[in-house]
Amino acid sequence: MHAMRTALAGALLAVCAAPALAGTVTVITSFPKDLTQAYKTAFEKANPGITLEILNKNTVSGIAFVRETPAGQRPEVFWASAPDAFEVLGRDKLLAKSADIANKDVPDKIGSYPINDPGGMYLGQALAGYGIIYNDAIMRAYFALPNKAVKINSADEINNFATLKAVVEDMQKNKAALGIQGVFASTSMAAGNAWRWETHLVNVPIYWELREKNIPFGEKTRNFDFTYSAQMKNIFDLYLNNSTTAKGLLGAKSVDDAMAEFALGQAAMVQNGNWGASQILGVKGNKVADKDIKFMPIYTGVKGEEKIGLCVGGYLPPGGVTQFLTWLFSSPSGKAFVKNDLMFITPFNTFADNELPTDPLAKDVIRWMNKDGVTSLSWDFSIIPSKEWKNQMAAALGDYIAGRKSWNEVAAHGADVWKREFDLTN
Amino acid sequence: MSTPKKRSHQIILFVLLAILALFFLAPMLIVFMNSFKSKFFISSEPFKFPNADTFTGRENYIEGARKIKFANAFGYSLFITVFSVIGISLATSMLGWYLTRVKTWFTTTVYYLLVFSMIVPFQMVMFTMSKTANMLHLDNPIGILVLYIGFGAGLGTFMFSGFIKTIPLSLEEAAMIDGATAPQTFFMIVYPMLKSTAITVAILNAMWVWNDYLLPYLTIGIEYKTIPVAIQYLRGGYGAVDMGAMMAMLVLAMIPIIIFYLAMQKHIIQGVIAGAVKG
Amino acid sequence: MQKSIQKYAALFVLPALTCFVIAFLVPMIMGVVLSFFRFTTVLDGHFIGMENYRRIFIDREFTNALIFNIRFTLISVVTINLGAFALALLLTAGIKGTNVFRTIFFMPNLIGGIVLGWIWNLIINGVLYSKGMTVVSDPKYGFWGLVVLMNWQNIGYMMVIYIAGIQNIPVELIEAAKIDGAGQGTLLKSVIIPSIAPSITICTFLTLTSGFRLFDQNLALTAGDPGKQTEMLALNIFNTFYGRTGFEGVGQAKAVLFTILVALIALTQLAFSRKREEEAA
Repeated sequence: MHAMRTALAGALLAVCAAPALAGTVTVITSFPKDLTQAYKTAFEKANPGITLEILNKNTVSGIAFVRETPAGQRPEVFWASAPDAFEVLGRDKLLAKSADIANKDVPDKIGSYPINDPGGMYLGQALAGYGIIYNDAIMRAYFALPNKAVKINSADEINNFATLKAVVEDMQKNKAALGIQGVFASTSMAAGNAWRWETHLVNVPIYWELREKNIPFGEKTRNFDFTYSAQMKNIFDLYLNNSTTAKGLLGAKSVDDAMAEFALGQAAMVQNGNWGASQILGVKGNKVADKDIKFMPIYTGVKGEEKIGLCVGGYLPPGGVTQFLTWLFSSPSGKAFVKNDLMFITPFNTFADNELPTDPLAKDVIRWMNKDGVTSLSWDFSIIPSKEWKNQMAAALGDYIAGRKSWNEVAAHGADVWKREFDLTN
Repeated sequence: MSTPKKRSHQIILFVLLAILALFFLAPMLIVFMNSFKSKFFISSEPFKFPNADTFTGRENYIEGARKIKFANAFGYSLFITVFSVIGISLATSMLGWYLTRVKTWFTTTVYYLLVFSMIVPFQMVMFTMSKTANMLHLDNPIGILVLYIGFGAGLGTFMFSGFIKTIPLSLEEAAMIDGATAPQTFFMIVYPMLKSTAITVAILNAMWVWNDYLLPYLTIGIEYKTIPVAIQYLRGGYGAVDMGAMMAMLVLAMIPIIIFYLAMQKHIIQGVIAGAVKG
Repeated sequence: MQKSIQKYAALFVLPALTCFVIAFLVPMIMGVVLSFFRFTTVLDGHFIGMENYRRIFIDREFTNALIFNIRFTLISVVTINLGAFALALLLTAGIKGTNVFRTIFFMPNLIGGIVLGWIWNLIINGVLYSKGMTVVSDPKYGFWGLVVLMNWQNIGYMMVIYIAGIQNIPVELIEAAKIDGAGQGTLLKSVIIPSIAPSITICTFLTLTSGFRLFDQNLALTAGDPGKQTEMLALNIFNTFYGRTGFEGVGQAKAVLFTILVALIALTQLAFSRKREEEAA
């Protein structure tokens, strides 16, 4: 249950050294110990005679550890929640190629998104998607109101920003009748809790700008002009102005707070990914029925957005590298962990239909991916030049919320810092 | 001598001080009060007494102690503090005596290096020190004692040698003429005279080590969380701060300090003054 | 005698000195050297001259932290010392219960920075709640929150130093002034304050140094939020080291500048007390 907080971008594995000899497999990971301990126990039970040694370190000290350990003694697998670490290790030539052990039956891409590192340095483990999660019970209650101001009759019919805005603002007016404190859960801005905006929401303008400039997926660019910043402002303002929480209090709100508001029925919508399921289903006093938890894409007012889907990315399982990876993706106990404990979506190859995830959000991600005529947005945030850029964005958005910066200043800052960080990191 | 005017003057001052004292105590009392309230009511009404709706009894204490493994944290803090203080007092009194009684270029250099270390902020050595500690396998509750003795060496040696300078040589000389070795002289003659300085050094170091956050966080923070590290850990990486558990843990963190303070008040205040004046 | 002690040099010197070399001396030298290197761990650096020092100023983070820190420290030094001195005067005026008051005022000083930060996080957020704000809504709340916290922690500490100073004033001096017909104001100005000048120097420099070194309280109260605008030097250096991959050398260079700043304050204090001792002699 704890995993998903860290597994923002799905989980990734990279192979640091040649596959292990039978005996001990060493895995270095930023996932918390209480989660990995469960893996260890299950793996060792399924593979008698092999010890799984898991080193729990945060990503930065994990990198340092690999660097400082002499060749031959390095851990076999580096398991992280985002690819940043692999780029650093890859540059230092500390990763071994894993392409030859990748599962050949797995497609190269989801949409335009490559599953594994084209250079063969790391493999994706799982898939995830995010968008606006809504509580359909509250939506039905709204559409049943006699005084509703919109013509449409269900949340399914929302397919662009104008409609979304009309619905949300009318719902906010009727919040007492709907029994909610606000349409959107808190726009969490506490330290370390702004990633839903500085990474995930920002993905939408990045996606549209890259498509407009014909920059292929995954190619880095020095020039990010924030062409679609006005569209990002549309949705961000909508979140802020129709919220459960006054703007001044957002600086202390965490993602957990926002998810709890949604789970307790105080909010009708929250922007997050399928990993958030554990934070809804797991909340004490959860009032949302499984069947009412649904996704819609993040509409921002871009022309042609009626055809977009959720933001989908993440990583597919490799065919098997060490005993650990084989077990993780192919054995019943390993797969059960991926599905039930990680709540990752891994609907490919080694996973049979009945092993598909059962939680409502993961199912809804698959529904959106399979919808006819709908294109998933790829996770273009992976080209953001540095973590520092995200921190700067979070700070600028905080200033915007507090009225210390205009939106134009936020956008200009984003574009400027992008160039600076690109130059510093390339 | 006390005229009615003077007496009323005194009463006004007394009331003023009492109000001020209340302000000084209030933050701690408010935390105590909130430690019995449900976390959902702490940020919205921190200044109200718990009532039937908001009172949760021991729940915050149980939940907080479970989340941060408070019992372990207390154990690590106590172990590290006690043994660091013993180590510092012993090692620096010996070094202080040696540096005062033996005058060579070496002892002078060491003395000035120690004094210099007192003015260097921790940030200067934080990164390189934690790497060194890691490489030398000092990243455990025993190894960290080495680091504390190293960082505490400056103040301890400085204070001990400051005091030793004022002790007349004659006693030590007499002992040595009678055939006592240097260790015998130190432990039988000198050490007993250092008691008041030793108390000061012990108190200053105990307060520092017990409350220290960065050093244990950087070196042993992942596996062995001392109380300050454990408390800050409640903020976590991405999670919400459970203010209920936080309040309860703040109370548990303060209780040992307050007991220690009330029991040792006179020594603590004198020690702190001595440390400030000489440091 | 020196000779017979020197025989046991290893026993007396090595325990403390070994620890000192490991914990301080080696890391200190490595730190200075590495501030001219680009590195991510201590063993993989390459020399880049002054580049790290130049990089400190590619954004305004460090400068902002410095300005914030100076403002915070100056205001705190003044308020803490005025408050502490006033309390010391009250507690030496022979009022009943002096000991209890002294105990209470000094107590916050013993509580660690992390705990203090969270205590005031609760109080300040509680006060601001009715305005729909928190301590991280606006940098000014964080700033004044830190000032209040710092005062709460240090007033009692400085107070006991002032009390000790006042109690050391010879009674005859005060009596003589009273016989000369000095009022309370004159007594304060021409007897008490000049007599406790050493305490004033000590307290000023103690608060000055602790103001610049503040870290734990900063981390627990605001963690630098909103957007690094309440970040002081020590926290900024920490975040540069551990929050920004590839900036470890810049963090080390910042630490060197920070050390020079703190050392300058200490040297000024030393010069001050030397001068006073000479004058007294």
